[in-house]
Amino acid sequence: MCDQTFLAITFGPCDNCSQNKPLMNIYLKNEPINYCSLCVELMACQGLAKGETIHTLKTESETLKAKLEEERAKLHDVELHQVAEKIEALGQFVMKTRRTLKGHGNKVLCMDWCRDKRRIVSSSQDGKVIVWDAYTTNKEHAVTMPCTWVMACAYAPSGCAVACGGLDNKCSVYPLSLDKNENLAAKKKSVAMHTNYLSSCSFTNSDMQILTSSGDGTCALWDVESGQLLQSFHGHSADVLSLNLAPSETGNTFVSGGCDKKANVWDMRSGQNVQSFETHESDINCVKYYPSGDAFATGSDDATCRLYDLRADREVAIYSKESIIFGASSVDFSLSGRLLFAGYNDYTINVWDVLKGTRVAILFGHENRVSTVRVSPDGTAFCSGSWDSTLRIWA
Amino acid sequence: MLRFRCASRATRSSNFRKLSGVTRSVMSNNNASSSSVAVAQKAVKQLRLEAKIRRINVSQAATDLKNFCLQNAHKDPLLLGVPSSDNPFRPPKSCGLL
Repeated sequence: MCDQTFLAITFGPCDNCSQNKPLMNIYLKNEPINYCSLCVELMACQGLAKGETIHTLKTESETLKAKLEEERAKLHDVELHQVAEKIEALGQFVMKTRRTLKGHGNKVLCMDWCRDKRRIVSSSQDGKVIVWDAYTTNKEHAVTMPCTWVMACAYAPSGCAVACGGLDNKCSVYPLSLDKNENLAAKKKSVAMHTNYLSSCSFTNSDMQILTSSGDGTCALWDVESGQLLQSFHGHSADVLSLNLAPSETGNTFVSGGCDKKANVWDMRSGQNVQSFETHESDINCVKYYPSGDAFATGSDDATCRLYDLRADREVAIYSKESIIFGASSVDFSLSGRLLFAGYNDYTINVWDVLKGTRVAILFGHENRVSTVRVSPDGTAFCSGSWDSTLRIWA
Repeated sequence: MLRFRCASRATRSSNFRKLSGVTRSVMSNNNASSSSVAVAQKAVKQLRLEAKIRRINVSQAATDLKNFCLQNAHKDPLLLGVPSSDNPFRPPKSCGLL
């Protein structure tokens, strides 16, 4: 998917055969080289002649995959819920809708909390991005994006800006001003450019960098001020639907999940894919780190949520029930990591006990599929956005 | 119900994949053999990297997860349920105190 960014065609003498032909700009051992396409073919065949045929590479990759599975299975000595047997079960949960935020004209696709634990930004299918005060349910700012399906929005750590994007293939940052009458659209800054829709975006620990994921199968790290691409992450073979940064104490990694059923963990500095997990049976819609940073949960169209541990390098729990047949669109952990809130396409939110693997509550209230669920930064409440065009705050 | 679910997947992933699928076939016509070798080499390199990482037992990882939960349980308002006076969302109307 990533090789859809454009190949610049230059014309000139080939480095190898010295004929004037259309050149392919390729990299050999990190050196840029201009070969004509005939020489590239010949070079590839030479590679083949040295014994690295497609066949041997395929067999090697099969054996490596089998070896990986074996190594992972060796360490699988116990299940998470067995370790958690002796813990007290959780009591009855009473969680109700405490606020309903109405104002979007169409499906709410994404939302994010501000670090002040009070403000929320949400985006919808009709292109509107609204900043709310969750305590009073007042709308503080509203911006209309020039595109529809704004699938990603994020609040800056300082609370002074919001980033959003969707079908326009870009991520735009809008600085929020205290003056309510000011036209926010005028100050818009386009930061990211992808070749397909923007599915998710997130500020890193500062207002200066944004991490984005896109339908073109890549994730990218951008500098907000200059709009420059700092690092790109290639490895997914289909649309990347979600990403999440590791909680700050644990360093520069993030996890992404996509339509290729894989969840990949990346090192932000090197761009390297450090771990990959492929046990889901369908698209992964959402990924979220566990609060300690040692694990992450995923929600998928196969109607299950799964917990993967990074240090054990495997899936350690599955949260599913036969009665749940609709995909999970969004997941989030409570502050201690004991509860997993998952929004499903059957209009409900299920609350799971992470350690025991059981469901502790089902929350009804939305009248259409739940598209996004996020716990507030201080853990006192969580907000859910839905295709019924409302957001609900539960506590 | 299931039809509805498939339609939603189509709108999100397949349509966009179809759009990009068209461009992809145009791009890779030139160097089919060299790119598939390159792709296979990349896959093998990635697998070698992943095979090298150090792993711990699930029992140890699970115990750490459990300990983290238990240690932080007292700080988790959604888990314990804080009294209405402390939770800014619980009182029906936020009053002049805020």
